[in-house]
Amino acid sequence: MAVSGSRFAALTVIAVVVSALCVAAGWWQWQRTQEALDLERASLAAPVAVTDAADVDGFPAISVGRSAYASGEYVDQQIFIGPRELTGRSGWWVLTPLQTDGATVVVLRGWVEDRGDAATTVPDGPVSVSGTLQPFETFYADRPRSPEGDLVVVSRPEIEAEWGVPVTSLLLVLDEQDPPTASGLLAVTPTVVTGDVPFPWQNAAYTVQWFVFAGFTWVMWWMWAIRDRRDVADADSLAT
Amino acid sequence: MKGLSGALVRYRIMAWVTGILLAVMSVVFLPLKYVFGLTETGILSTIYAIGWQAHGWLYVLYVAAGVDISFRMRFSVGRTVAVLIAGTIPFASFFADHLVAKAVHARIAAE
Repeated sequence: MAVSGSRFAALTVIAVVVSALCVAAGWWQWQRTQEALDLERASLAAPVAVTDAADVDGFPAISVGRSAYASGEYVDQQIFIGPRELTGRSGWWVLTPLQTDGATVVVLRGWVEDRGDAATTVPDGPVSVSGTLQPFETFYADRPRSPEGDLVVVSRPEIEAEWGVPVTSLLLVLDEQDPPTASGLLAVTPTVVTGDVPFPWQNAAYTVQWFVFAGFTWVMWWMWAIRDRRDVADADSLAT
Repeated sequence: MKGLSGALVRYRIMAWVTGILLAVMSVVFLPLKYVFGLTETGILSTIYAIGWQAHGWLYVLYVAAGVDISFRMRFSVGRTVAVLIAGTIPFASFFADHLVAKAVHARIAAE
């Protein structure tokens, strides 16, 4: 039994060390998972140029909901989408094309109760705008217009048909504009708050696998300990 | 010993699948990434990521199969650990597979 006892102690020490190393490695991979997520979230929190976040052909999923900026000149081809409610009042969303260097960006400049409001006048000259990127609306795509002929859906094909140009595949919900817009347009709150950051599956999987290996270590320890005890018992029974 | 040949088949399958994937990842994809820098974007980056993740999970199965055959064969602690580690070293699992299979066949022939 003395030999078996020291072997048992050695096996136990090895199991403790190996499983501790596995747990440490698993914890390290979990930290890396968190760091990767934090880095992605931080880079998503920083504003990006609209033209870097999306183009005519499409956009990466992470661009949805991002803060973005653009500069250029508004084109006097405004579209009103509605009726749309804001704080219980019926009104219109004001969509204005912004001609930037090489792209036409749909800017949702704000909400207005009356389409004839002077506040809807398209600003002249160069502007810098910033806001939140949002997807176009695809619901009611088969009937985007009301019986009166008004556009009720922020439909990309309808807008492109009306303006005669392809537009960037995400629209910018205006937050700030320099020089500022005439008062009267109320800011629209973006509904799609943020896109998901890509999850670091590899680090997360390594986390799980390291913990599994820590478990395996103790399974092996247990199997060896049981076998040693049985071997000793067999030897004892043979000896008697 | 009952179930020994089944355990050997399971171990051999895992040794070859894990071994081939690890060999391809190390011989083809590591140079693609670190020498030629071709795995930053596109289809190669997807294959690269999937390949390593697949190896991670396959290695878990390899360890399970390796523990099983090692205990059935009553391998020593050191030999068992060597069998398990072989799944993480390129080409080592092919040698481990060969040695384990030889030992099992010798045992079966002796019985």
